[in-house]
Amino acid sequence: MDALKNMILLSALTCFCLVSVPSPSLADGFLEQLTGTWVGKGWARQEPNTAKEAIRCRLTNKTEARSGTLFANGKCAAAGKSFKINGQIQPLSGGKRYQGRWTNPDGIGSIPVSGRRQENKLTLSFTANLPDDKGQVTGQIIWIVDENIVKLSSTGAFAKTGQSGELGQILFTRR
Amino acid sequence: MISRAIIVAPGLATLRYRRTAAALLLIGLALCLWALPSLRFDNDIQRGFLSDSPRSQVYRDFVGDMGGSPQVAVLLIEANQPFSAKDYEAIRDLALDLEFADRVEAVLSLFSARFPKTHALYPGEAVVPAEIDLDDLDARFTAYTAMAPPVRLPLTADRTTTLIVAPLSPKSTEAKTSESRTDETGESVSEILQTHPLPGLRMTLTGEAAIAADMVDNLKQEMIVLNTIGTALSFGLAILLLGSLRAALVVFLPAVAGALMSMGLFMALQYPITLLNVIIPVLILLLGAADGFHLVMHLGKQDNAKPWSDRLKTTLLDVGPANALTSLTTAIGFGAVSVSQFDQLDELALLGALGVGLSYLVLLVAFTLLAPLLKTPPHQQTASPGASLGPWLSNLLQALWSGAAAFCYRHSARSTRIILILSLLLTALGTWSYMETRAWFPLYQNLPDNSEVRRANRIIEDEFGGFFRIWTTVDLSDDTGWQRLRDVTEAIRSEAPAQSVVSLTTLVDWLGLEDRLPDKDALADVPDGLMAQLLTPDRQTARVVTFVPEPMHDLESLNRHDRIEHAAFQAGADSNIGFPVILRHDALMVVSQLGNGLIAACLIASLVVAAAFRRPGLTICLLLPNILPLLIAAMLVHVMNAGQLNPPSVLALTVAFGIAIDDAIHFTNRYLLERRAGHDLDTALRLTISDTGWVMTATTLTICIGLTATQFSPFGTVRLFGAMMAVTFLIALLADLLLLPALLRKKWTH
Repeated sequence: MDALKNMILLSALTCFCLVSVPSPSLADGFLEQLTGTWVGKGWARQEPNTAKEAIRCRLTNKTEARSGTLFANGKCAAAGKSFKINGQIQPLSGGKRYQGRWTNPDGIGSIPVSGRRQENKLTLSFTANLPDDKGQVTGQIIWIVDENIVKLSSTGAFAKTGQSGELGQILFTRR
Repeated sequence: MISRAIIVAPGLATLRYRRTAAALLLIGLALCLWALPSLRFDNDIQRGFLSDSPRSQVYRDFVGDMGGSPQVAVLLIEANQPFSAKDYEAIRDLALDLEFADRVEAVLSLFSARFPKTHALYPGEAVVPAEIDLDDLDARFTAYTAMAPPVRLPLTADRTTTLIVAPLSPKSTEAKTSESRTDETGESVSEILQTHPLPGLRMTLTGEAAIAADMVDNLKQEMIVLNTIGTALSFGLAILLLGSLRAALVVFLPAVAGALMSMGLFMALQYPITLLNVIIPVLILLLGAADGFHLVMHLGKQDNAKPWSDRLKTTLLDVGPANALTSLTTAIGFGAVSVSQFDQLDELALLGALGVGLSYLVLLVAFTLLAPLLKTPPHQQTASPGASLGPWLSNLLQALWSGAAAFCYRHSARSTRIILILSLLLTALGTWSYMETRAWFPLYQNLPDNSEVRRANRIIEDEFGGFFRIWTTVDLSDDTGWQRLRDVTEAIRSEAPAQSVVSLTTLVDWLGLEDRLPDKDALADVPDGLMAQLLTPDRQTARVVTFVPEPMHDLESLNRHDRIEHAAFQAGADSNIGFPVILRHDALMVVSQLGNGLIAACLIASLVVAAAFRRPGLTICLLLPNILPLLIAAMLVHVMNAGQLNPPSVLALTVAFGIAIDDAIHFTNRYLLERRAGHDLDTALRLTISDTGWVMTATTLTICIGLTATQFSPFGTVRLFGAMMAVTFLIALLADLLLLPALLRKKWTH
């Protein structure tokens, strides 16, 4: 199950990043546009050299008006496994940078994420320790927003094995 | 003895207080009509099979431990040709999305299957990868199947049919936790299915809830079909036989009122409509019509010169007690059903018995109120059979009946010995035929023949081994527990190699874990719902889950079920629990208990009638002509149901006896009245056959024509039920007109 856990972790991180996707039209209020329910479909894999697996996700996002923080709750399903995801993200001053924290209820841990937006493209970076002494993974998630569709792709580099490459692609649509 | 006046008191009171009686009757009917929309249909398919037996109690305890009845949603997906890559992708989208449906604990499908991490070619990979190449996919399927996984790959060899199974959390748990499940989508399985139309593929949802929904939908139609068509057919024949629309109305309106009141009982007692008790209103209607026939015919035969009220009173006093007795014997027939330990049968018994009693009261009141419609001036001829369609038909019917009556009288007098020997031979043949039947009560018979759900269930059972689950428990509290769990699992797998068998040992083997009871962390990725089924929270009892077809799918599945149970116990299992176990054992108990009820009904009803007439010798006279039709009707089981005796067919025999004996009562009542009037035996029998025989024939034909409505039913059990009842009544009529007079000639009956 170790490899499956890796995939779940990466998929969960990938899905979580939806909450941080900015609106191209609003400089500071973009998180509000991401409220609501999103349905995602795509693939993910355990490591860059393993087979791609289909994945589907659903997210429900809510924004807190005072701090502008977006809270996400959802669930993803892959072969033989479904897992819950949740997290939060908030804009930093200037409206181009964001930071947040991912908490995996299944016990993977709390992982910080941060990134920068350029037009309708957001790049977020993360570093996480994989379970069962599998080492560290450093990665990026790239989001491209086109009205009610969000495309994402993620890459990762595994310190212990030295492998790096694409880890997943998911297309989200508003439900 | 209770006097005749007391027995028909409701009718006599109605004669005196017409307006009060009419008001009370109308209020009662209005209440029933008002409450009709609140009739509910039973959607718990397990309730009909659970009894007071220890086995059922163990299952109830298990359901309690699990937080509610374990259910599954099962989706059968079929294609006309092997699935294409696009088909697989569409089905996968659906399977993965079902994970988001409320109450779904896990989803088992082609797309949930995963190779163990020790696999040489596909370590830890999903069997179906994200990008589907059909050749690669076939190789993966072959590799996976070669590993003999605990859960079979749900795909047929020709790649045209697959299955998605979603165990559901119990409803009670759902209600309790729904507040906290804020991340759920709030969508049901059906709603998810609506968003996945699967173009070009055929999709059928089944499982307990789908079976129940299908059953209820068809039961509603059944209510309409049985009542409407049955009543229309009987009413049409009654007009023909009575020769008058008014007379037919006087016969039928009280019967309809009685049937309506019996439906009111469903609501008053808060009982749901089931496949068994759905027949009660129409049966009561037909019984009421039969009794109405006797009243109307008797009234029409009286001297027109007498005052109207005297004629009506005489009819009530002459025929009413016989009607009361027939109601009593029918109630005994229904009451005998309550010897069982099953809630549904107890409800049927109470509803039937009370319904018949209530119908009797309504009949007397309504008949007395409506009888003035039949008032004829003094010395005017009353309507005769067929008169409504012209004198030629009337003459034809009278000629036919005169010939038939003469035939019956002649042969019952001259060929007594031959009739008795023939009857005994037929009784022996019928008994042998009955002994050759096999008790059988499959769940699928609760669904109509044309049901999509039924069709899907059969395919699932034939192709995938079924979706019902047996939980075999093994005590883990001592050192040998783990080894016994392994032994039990292997014993079941060896007896049922085609079934999916899951236990902690199969999981441990599949995941490559150490051969011992794994700790919680090692199984952290196993869905909670599945773990709850495999191990109790205190980790003291493990369960082996075996997916099976319903035991009485066919003889082979029944034998396999028995082998699984036997092998599990031999290997050290503590118990086998589950709906299939109930279906296998308790359901058959229904048949034997109903059989006991039938015997009790025959004896009690015959003794009651003999006692009512104060003639102990009549017991045999009543038993033989009424048991013989049952035995002959039971032969239909071989013709219509492959020799399988199910509860509805035994029920049909039981209720049919209660009704069939009615004719014998009316015959005997009239015979004794004629004897009391001073006629000798021959004259009394001739007059009885001639007059009462005609009424018996008319009522039997009317009931039988009404029962033909059952032949339009999509339920095989209802068709068999109706056919057995009709055959019983027809044979009973012949027996009452030939055998009963022959027996009454014997001195020992006097």
